[in-house]
Amino acid sequence: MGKPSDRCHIDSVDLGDPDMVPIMSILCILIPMLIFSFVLYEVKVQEVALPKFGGGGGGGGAKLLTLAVLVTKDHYLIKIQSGTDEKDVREIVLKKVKSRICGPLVPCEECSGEEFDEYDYAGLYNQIVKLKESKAFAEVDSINIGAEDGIPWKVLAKTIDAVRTKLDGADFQNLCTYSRAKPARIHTTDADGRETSSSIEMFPKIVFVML
Amino acid sequence: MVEENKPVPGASGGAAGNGDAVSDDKIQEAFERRKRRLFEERSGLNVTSLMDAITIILFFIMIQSTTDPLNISLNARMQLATSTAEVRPSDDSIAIMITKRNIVLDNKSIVQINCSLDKAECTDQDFEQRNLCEKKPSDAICSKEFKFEVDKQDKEKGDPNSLVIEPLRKELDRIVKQQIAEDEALGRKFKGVVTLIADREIPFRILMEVIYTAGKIGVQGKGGLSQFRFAIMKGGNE
Repeated sequence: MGKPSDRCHIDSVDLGDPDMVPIMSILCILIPMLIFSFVLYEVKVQEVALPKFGGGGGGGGAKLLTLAVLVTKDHYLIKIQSGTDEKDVREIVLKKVKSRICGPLVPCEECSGEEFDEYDYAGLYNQIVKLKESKAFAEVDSINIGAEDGIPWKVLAKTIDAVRTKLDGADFQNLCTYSRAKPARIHTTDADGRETSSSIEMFPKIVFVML
Repeated sequence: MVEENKPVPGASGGAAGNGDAVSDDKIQEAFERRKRRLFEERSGLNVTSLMDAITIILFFIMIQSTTDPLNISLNARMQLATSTAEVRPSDDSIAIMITKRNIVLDNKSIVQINCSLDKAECTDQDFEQRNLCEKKPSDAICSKEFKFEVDKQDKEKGDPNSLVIEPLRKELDRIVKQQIAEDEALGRKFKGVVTLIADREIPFRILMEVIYTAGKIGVQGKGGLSQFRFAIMKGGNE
């Protein structure tokens, strides 16, 4: 019999490694399941104001200044109303244009994808920028958007983009150059001294109207 | 390395003599055990670091999936429109989902949407092909018109031209009253925000019907549904 310390063979008590197999099995099921349900896209929201139905009140004879974009099956119609009289309404028609699908790495001039008819988002944007830069609409922050009954939401979403957000660059000649332009940003410093940047909105208030 | 540790039989420290044969066997056995253990240690997979990595991935994915306030799953019947909007969705809004087949509220189908293509009922296969039109716009199905409409029996007084969808109005009324009561109990103000999660093919008419119906909901003096937001998928102008 040696000393008590010699008799104590803690080292010889081999508990072995914990069995990881069931845990790993659970994880191997959980991870693909979660990845499958994982959102790989970013969801944001686009705000719209309550729609206008029918004609409103006169407004007490005040000068009426409204801008409306109407979407039909084959064109855009921009209506600029600068008074209460029908003669004060100016209209701009933007017909659908031929466009091509372009890969992200292909320069716009070398686009050779399939040709298809598309709404002239670039033309609409160019017109809206011109109007916003004019004196008449400099202080106006709302724009009406209306559409024919069958116009799909995806067209309206892009139309809202074209009239709401200001982009870097100007006078886009085609859909490719327009679609690659980044939103113009304004950098501000908040009360805590932190720098924040946000996109410049031309007409932040979008109002849906029924035709 | 292992070779260097190999013992020399009969040279086990100060022990010498006949009893050394047994002792040598034991040493040899201990040596073999050690050799085996060393081999296992070197060649075995280190599970600990793998478990660490997997646990981090698991937590990351779980947090990501639980912080999405809208929790939209995309399929043939629900594809979001793309937009450059930058506003984040809020989690205290009432979500109305408009798929190609129905209007859903609280994960419950409230109203069915009829879809016809060339006078025949649309199939899920048609929807799948249509969803590919952004990549293949020259496909025949891309130039065809899908006609979506809410059945007239679900409209106010059965009038097909009405903008009010009755089952939606009733359900929204119930939800709004319930939410106002909850907000009052918690001392909060009812915000009346609606998030419309609409499929990108849904026509303007149905969107207007849903907005118009929701706009009619409210409790006197306590507010109603007044702010409307559309869920979109963040993307470029393309």
